[in-house]
Amino acid sequence: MMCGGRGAYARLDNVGTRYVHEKYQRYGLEEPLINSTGQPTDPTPKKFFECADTERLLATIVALGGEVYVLKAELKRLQVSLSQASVVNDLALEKAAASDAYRTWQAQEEVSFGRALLRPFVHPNDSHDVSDLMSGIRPGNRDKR
Amino acid sequence: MKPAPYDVPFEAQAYQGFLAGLKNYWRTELYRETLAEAQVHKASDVKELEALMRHSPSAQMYAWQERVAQQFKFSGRWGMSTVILQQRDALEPLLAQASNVAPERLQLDPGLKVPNYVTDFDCHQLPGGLWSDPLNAWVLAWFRTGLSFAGSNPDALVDWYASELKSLAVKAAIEPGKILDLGCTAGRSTRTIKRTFPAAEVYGCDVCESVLRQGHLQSVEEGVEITLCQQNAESLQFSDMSFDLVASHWLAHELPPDAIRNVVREAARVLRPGGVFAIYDMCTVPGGVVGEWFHAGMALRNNEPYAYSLVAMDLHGELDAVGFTQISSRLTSPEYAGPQPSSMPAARYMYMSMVSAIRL
Repeated sequence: MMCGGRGAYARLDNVGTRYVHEKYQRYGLEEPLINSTGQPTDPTPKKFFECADTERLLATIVALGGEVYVLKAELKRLQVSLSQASVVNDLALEKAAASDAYRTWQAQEEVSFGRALLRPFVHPNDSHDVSDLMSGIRPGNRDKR
Repeated sequence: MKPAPYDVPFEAQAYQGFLAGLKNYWRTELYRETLAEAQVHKASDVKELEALMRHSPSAQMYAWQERVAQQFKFSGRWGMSTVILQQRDALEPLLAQASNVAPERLQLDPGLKVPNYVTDFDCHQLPGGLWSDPLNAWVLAWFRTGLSFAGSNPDALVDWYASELKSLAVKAAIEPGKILDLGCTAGRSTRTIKRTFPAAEVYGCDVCESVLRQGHLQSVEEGVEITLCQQNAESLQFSDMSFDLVASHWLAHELPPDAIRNVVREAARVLRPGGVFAIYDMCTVPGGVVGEWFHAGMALRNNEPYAYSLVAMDLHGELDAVGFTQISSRLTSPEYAGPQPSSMPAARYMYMSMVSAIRL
């Protein structure tokens, strides 16, 4: 069954967004907390640094850091494994480098590694910006944003 | 317990470890530097403090990392969403088949309208939220195997929460026969409640179908007999006075104030006289202007805008208005329990409040 007594609370309905806005005003927040470059309905990503390039470069550096971290983990795992098995010598390494398996990996990696590193420079912030909601304007349709 | 049905490659595991390291730096050293700077200013309100801190390198880095490290967690080639979405062929059928097992304990409503406050933006920055792509239920399942946003152990938090509910029931001199967990997502809190109150009939409700399906699969696998229902906590389909305990765990901060009012009214309707209502959430933010500044920034940057309106809301007044009595609230979590502290914590985490009341 549906709830009863709705009429008594009708005056409280549909005030959520306005309520957020009023509280912002109460705290004297006439603009979004973060130094946004856009108007409320503008999906421009938030800016955290005075220079937008800092944001982009930082995203690239963190992406690179992630790749390096993963690589270090893989290398460490391999070192431990090979050391335990005592199977590697110079000849075996040369043979591996010339193998189809290694070359296939290299071709794939040339594509995905560069993309993973550079994409954050153009798209540093993939998440929806909710500044508009925080400042009292609810987007009507996410597809329009 | 069976291993998770999704595959986490070694590289993805390592990458998530890298991000955990970033987050640990963010919530400790970087937070402390930002906090120390913010406290020096003695600002009189949040706006003034934001203006003063806007050019601070530590504050800029803190804010950037708060937002972007969460995005890296989901996106990028080793991100959780990326890895899970590559396994669609294996994972989507599992969700589809969930209702074939113990179907009486999974009650779905395909016609339910998911509220705007769920669909308007990607909560927690999870691409697509929990309501769009069903595979995000598996992303959430993976996400919850790690530390929470604030670096807390989620299992410790939920266990603590259930033990607090037990204390409330004892204090109210009730032995709950029927319990409702509002906004249960995949039912983790619901299962913990069932384990804490094994004799009770326990229900969980949420608006998102796929997480309920995933939660049902997990409940069956763990042998925990709970019933998960696709319902909006603002307009429950349960009868009047049908529960002894109604609880919400990390739900209120996801809701705009008008929705919270509806939920409070519904809790009053479905509770029996003498029943207990409990809201466990970030209802209070200690630390004055500096605490509010950190909290407001989190609400904005992690796409949780209603976390900000929640702290300004008069929950006691709302509870009183619909006939609750013995209304109380206190800070309580595994990290901190006690009176509201006068200073900020040494590492960034969310202060959790337990707001409770008795139905007249």
